[in-house]
Amino acid sequence: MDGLNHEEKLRLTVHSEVRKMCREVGGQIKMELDKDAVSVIAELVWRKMCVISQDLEHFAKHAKRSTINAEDVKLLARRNPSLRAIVCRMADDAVKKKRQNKEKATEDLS
Amino acid sequence: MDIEGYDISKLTSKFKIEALREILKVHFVDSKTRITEDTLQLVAEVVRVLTTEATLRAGRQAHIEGMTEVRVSHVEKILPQLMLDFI
Repeated sequence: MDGLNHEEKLRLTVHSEVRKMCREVGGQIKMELDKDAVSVIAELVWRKMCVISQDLEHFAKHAKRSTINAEDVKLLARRNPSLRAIVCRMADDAVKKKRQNKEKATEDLS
Repeated sequence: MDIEGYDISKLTSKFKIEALREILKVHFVDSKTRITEDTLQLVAEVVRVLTTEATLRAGRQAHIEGMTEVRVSHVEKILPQLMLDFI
């Protein structure tokens, strides 16, 4: 890993995470992916992450915030109803869980 | 599991949150930009869905062509629609 700059190391990380995931999915659908197919998917995921990063930053900035939040991710998914549903459900579950933990904490104190 | 009935909740692999944070940070323009851990979990899920869809669609394409190994040509065929679905 010496001699690799920061971005190259991150690309390798994406490649290895994607490979792990593709192998698991492949195993579940009983298909194998050849290594070049995995590389192409890893490259497209890397490029999508670059675009996602810039979009999220712009959305937060537009709302006059410097911290990206769930609303920004929901906005990112606005054009795909099923993806948006996934994001909304996960965000709502996280809010519910936080509220429950808070209630439990106040209960324990009293 | 077959491709059409694929259940993503059965997928155990997840993206490492701290790696995701580093990757997003590299592309931020403003050094003041931050992202919370909860929000990173949401982004991780979006990326997980993207990776899974790419794999499933390429797998379906390979299956249609009577193959059990997914090649670059299969990924190339499904790429345009995948990109349109994830705009």
